Amino acid sequence: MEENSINNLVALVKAGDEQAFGLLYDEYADRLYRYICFKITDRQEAENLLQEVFVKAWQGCRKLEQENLNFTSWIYTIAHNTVNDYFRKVYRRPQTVPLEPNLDIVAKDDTSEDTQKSFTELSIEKALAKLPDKYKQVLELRFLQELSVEETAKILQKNSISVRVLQHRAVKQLQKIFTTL
Amino acid sequence: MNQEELIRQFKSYSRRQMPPLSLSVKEKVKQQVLNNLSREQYPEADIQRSPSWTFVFTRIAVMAVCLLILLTGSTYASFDSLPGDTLYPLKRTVEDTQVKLTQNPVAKTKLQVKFAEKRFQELESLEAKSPKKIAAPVITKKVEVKIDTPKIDSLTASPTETEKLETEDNPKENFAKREISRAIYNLENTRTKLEKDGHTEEANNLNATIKEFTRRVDKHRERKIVPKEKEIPSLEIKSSNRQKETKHEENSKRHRQ
Repeated sequence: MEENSINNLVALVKAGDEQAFGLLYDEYADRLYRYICFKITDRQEAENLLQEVFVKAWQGCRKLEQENLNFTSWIYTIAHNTVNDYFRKVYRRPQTVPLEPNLDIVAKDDTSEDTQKSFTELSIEKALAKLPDKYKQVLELRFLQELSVEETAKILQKNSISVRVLQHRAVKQLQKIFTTL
Repeated sequence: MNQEELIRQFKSYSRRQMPPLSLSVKEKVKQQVLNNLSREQYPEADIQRSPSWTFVFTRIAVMAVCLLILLTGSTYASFDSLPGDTLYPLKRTVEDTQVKLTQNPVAKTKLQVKFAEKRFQELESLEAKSPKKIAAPVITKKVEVKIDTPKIDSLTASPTETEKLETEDNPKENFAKREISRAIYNLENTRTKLEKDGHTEEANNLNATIKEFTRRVDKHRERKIVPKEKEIPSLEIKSSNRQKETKHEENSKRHRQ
């Protein structure tokens, strides 16, 4: 959807149009869900957080100033903050899940799944595990979500130059880790 | 591996790891979001925010009980208060309310007499408490000395004098006296009303009571003391005896002659 169309929808949402908000949901739901799932493995939690993001977006739309608005970066910022709030909550109150009696507990060094993946994928996976979070974030926003430098800068609350530098360092670090594996 | 290839591998890996949002899940979440929106639009429909009426009534009842206890305590404490005390106005208000609420004219009269009597008791309590300064009496005695008697240093004195017991002006006592006047005034009004309504006997009884109260008021205003005439026994007796003797001598002389 084009920027103008999105801005028009936002104007309607500000007036209280739920149908317009539904269209915005259809536009952004997939992307935001993938963004959340990149950080949170639990699918149920990811769905809950997706719902929370859009409810917050509805509440925030009323007070939104449309002048110089980038709705994409704005809604990604909400998702970014919502995920951070979730991690903070989990850190403070760790949740335990009761064990089912017939649950198969997979051993740490179970190689059955690993054989299905290619060597490259495994290497990427291990390299990402070693990459710092701030680099992972910028790679995710820039390459997976395909956001612009300016949009990424707004979400991460940095300036464009910092984002470019961060991205450059992230790729370099990933390459370095990858080659050492 | 160069950077471009690495980024490409990274993208393909990540997309494979992150499951897409299925249509069913997408619709389910959309419905949940829209339901939340409806609730957001009508916040007053949120039952949790509406006041619990039980809680409100309980609060009102507790406040009413506390107020009642406070009033009762204050009223009880005001019973022994005197003019000038903090709770005295409350005492007077309670008494006035009692009188106003009494419909029966005879019962009303009895109440007013009872409260007027209380005003006198209050004044007496105040007078008993306050220190009285007695002005030094100014006495000048005058004794007329007779010619035959040897000269004596004369002292002048008046046979009757008014010795006034003066008290300093006490605002509380003055206030109490004004309250008494007010009580008597009310009784006079009540007497007139009793006469108009045909309660002659009660009106006459009340009249006697008013007179008694007025007399007591006068008694409080001024006290008169008449001192006794002092005797000067030695001098006067001597002079009179002498006079008698002189006369007796004269008479006896005449007889002899």
